[in-house]
Amino acid sequence: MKSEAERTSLQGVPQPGQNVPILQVRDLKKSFPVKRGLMQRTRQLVRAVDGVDLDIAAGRTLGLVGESGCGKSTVARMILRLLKSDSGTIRFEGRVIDALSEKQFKPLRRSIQMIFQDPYSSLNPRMTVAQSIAEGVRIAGIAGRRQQRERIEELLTMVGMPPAVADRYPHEFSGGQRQRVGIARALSVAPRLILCDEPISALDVSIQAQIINLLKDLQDRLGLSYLFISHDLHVVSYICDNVCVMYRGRIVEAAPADALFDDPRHPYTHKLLASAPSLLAKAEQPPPVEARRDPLPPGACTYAQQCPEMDSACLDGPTAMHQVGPDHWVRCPPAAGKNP
Amino acid sequence: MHFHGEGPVARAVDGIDFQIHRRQTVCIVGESGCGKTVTALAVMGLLPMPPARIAGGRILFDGRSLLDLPADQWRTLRGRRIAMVFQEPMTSLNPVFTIGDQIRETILAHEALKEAQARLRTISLLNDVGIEDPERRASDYPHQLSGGQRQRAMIAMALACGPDLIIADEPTTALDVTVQAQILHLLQRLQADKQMAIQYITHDLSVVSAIADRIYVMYAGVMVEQGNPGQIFQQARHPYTRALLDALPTKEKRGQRLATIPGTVPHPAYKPSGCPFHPRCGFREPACERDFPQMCDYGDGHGARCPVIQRMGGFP
Amino acid sequence: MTADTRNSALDAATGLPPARTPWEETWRLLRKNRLAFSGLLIFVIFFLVAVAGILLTAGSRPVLDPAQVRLQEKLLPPLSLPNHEVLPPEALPPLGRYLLGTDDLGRDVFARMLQGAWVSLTVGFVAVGIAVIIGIILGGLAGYYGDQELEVGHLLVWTTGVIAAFLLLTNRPAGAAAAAAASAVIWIVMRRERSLYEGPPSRRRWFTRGLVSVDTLIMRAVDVMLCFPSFFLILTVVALLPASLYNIMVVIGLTSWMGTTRFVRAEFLSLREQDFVAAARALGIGDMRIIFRHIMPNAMAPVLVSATLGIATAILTEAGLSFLGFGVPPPHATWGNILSDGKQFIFDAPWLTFAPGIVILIVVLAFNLFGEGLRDIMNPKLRERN
Ligand SMILES: Nc1ncnc2c1ncn2[C@@H]1O[C@H](COP(=O)(O)OP(=O)(O)O)[C@@H](O)[C@H]1O
Ligand SMILES: Nc1ncnc2c1ncn2[C@@H]1O[C@H](COP(=O)(O)OP(=O)(O)O)[C@@H](O)[C@H]1O
Ligand code: SF4
Ligand SMILES: [Mg+2]
Ligand SMILES: [Mg+2]
Repeated sequence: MKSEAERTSLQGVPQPGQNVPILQVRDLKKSFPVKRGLMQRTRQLVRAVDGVDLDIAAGRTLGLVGESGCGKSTVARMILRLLKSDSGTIRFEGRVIDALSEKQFKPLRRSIQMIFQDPYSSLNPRMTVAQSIAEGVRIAGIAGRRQQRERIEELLTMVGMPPAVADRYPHEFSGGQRQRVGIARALSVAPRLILCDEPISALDVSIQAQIINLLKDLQDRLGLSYLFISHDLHVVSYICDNVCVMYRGRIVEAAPADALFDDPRHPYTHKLLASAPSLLAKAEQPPPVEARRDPLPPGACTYAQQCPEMDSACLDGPTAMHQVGPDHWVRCPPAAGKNP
Repeated sequence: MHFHGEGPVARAVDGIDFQIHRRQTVCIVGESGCGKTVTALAVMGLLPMPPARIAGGRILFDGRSLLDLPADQWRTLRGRRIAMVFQEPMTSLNPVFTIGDQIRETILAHEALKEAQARLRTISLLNDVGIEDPERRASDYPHQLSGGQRQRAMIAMALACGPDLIIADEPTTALDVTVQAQILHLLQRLQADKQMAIQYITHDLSVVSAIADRIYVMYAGVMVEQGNPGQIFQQARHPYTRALLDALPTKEKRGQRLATIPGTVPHPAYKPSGCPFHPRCGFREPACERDFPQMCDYGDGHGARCPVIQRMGGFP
Repeated sequence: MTADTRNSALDAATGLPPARTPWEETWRLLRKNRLAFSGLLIFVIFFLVAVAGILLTAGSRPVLDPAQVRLQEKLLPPLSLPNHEVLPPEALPPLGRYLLGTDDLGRDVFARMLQGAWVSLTVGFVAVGIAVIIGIILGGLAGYYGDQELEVGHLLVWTTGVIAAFLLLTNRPAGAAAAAAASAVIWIVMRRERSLYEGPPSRRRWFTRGLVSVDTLIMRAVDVMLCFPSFFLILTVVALLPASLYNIMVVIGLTSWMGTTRFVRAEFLSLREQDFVAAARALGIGDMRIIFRHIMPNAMAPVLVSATLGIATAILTEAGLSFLGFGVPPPHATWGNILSDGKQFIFDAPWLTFAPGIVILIVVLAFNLFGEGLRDIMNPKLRERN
């Protein structure tokens, strides 16, 4: 009911339709200063996110894959406005949100939620499960102890936990159970988009499957959209409709999950696929490519130093995204030129 | 291996046997809390006692019983002939010494070498584990290295005295898949070069496929299935092994629901009676709740603790 | 094997071992830690004695009168009987004996010790209470808002504000009004400036130019305070102020907040980066609620520990001040001035020195043991297992 009232107050905003993606990110950038020395003077900037574009269709799942440190969490934190972006635009349901003031953003805040990687630090150790979830339930405008309690138990059931755990503390649960509580907390404000920042990387394989199933069920029931961040291409291609592969702050390949799996183009995507151990064969690892140490010209492909396919086109000027199939884009001149 | 503290006794590891032959890679697989780390620490003699107590059993290394060894002999054995690599390299490296110092320390603790010789050995070890520019890297502190490099440094330290057995406890669980692939590759290469045995502990069956000669599947302190990779992956005979395999997301399963194992590993103090897996098992029969299952032999070193599947002659 | 049967069954509804709240867990570990537990016991006894002491020794006709002078009965050893012949009946000790003897004026040392217990207790708690409140506020500010730059204008607004308050208190309303007006004007100019020069800080003008970060300011203040030898600082201040129990408490409190500030800041810095704080922000929870509901309870463990240790220090400081004659003015008894009075008679009447000396030792030791024990118990590394 609350969200109805809210939607009518957003007049003049394009309504979420078939063609408007629920989230659109354009040319998002963020650098962090590296502080060194006694005086803590800024010496250098790390370009953590260097021009990222993303589109998430409503009710769909977009995967964001890359090795750790490539800037995935930074993207998620900027979308959630936990971090301020340096430049670029973020549109949520057609509305530019990064220019809004904190006050204007407040009603939208509940629409985007996040699930975190580390199940140990994502729950407040001094709060019971019920208290943690109640924080969101209250924000969602449910007053009255009884109603709040009912909603909390409903949320716990929704994520597959017995309601009787409500008065337990996080330290009594396993990683997978904590992750479920974290999901319940995110759901408590009825979001439309959930950013899942490596939600299963810290879990056992058997528990990973439970959480993946839970996320899919919730998507079917509640029509959620997900940004699913991971370093494991296998997991991502199992859950996601579309996948973006990220390398050092840039998207290097974007494609529907099937296309990415059947016809990976970027050399880095190849490497990610080859790294994932497969059940069937003793993996034959390709010998690692000797890293070339010569500095890259500005704008060159960031992967050039490790890339077995590198040629002169990779170093000439900024490498743009090339379309190689329906919705399949790759930031690599040699890969774009080749035919499958 | 039992933990005596307040409250009920935690039977963390409860009657397991396994063997590791020379130059073999043996993998121990199971969910968190199954007792894998406790097993490894028991072999290393690193369990704090009390609260831990070895309630029975033997650990033979090279025919010698480790449990009967005096503490100082066990200590020399550890490091020199058996070495361990831990899951979290940041906490197992000392943050205030350079990695070069730490490796040299290990060498000097076990061998009568001159400083300079130890230094040379350190550099060549770092080179062996694939750290570029080892002379410079040796003077780096742990926090200056990436996760993968730290794990390589840990492996170099484990290799310092040319051990016969390396116990690797989830060495890649905290790492990215790309880095994991490199570390697995490295372990295989080192095993071939140095003729060591490896005991590799993990919760991820798909990792195991890349390296294992023999696999033990562990559940709630018990070995429930053992065999070589072909037997385990193609002809699993225990519902737990089967469930672990089914839970892996793969390309082929796209669009289907993943099979899951309901519930969680029991706390060692509250283990169910009969087959420890029965509360989570889809094949259980009334007898499973009562009788502890025997190891059913399928020949060629393949065995599983599940009479039900044996009677059914495999999974339907 | 002999496990409590309640303990060994799994909870049917949750499938978890029986519930234990963090506080129950702390209590359980505390009971296992024998030294800390005896520290706590002594503390409880001390508390009860001090409360009983103030009830028995206060009022116009106290049950035990610490100020009753009996010149005939001076310097009697502990447990001696009063002389019924020479004393008027109202001067007889109500307990029938001088439990701890009498001093050079024939006052009952037991009664005086009881009165002193209350002084020590209140000094300990109030001084530490002041220090902890300052420490939490400053440490919390430095930890949570530490990155924020303090601007020139802020400083001017505050200085003029303080001047206004000072003038008002010293009864100069015209000056106060002028200062308050200046303060308001600077504030308005700052707001104008900020809206005019939205942009990188280098383009800001005079009033909104960043000066120091909140963190730097607070932590340098801590460093400065730590540079003073605090006992001498207290001596100086106490020498300037009229001697009273309240001044002593406030002065000790105002000179001992630095440790707490550091602890709280460190806790806030690490807790602020935890995912549960990010999750709270993502839910749209306000800063104040995040600070007080989400971060503070997690930062309390080291504060509690340092507060317990701080009480011991404050008791010692007060005893030291009283011993030197800068403390609570006589005739009110404190452990420090009993000790100080007794030192002239240390050979003739050693109980005058030993009674307060040993009691101070025991109480301070108890607080230290309890504090150290709490530190161990609240250490998450020791709590993980079991
Ligand atoms: N608050 C910060 N201050 C400085 N550097 C940061 C900060 N957050 C992230 N970084 C840097 O930005 C890069 C990207 O980090 P992150 O987004 O966390 O990567 P990922 O989530 O892909 O592992 C890393 O190199 C990291 O060191
Ligand atoms: N020192 C200890 N005291 C009590 N219980 C312990 C101790 N160490 C481990 N355990 C228990 O033993 C079980 C097995 O632990 P572990 O070997 O670490 O599992 P794994 O390595 O398979 O994840 C766990 O349930 C754990 O709670
Ligand atoms: S013995 Fe019974 S419960 Fe145990 S795994 Fe086999 S079928 Fe399942
Ligand atoms: Mg991340
Ligand atoms: Mg383990």
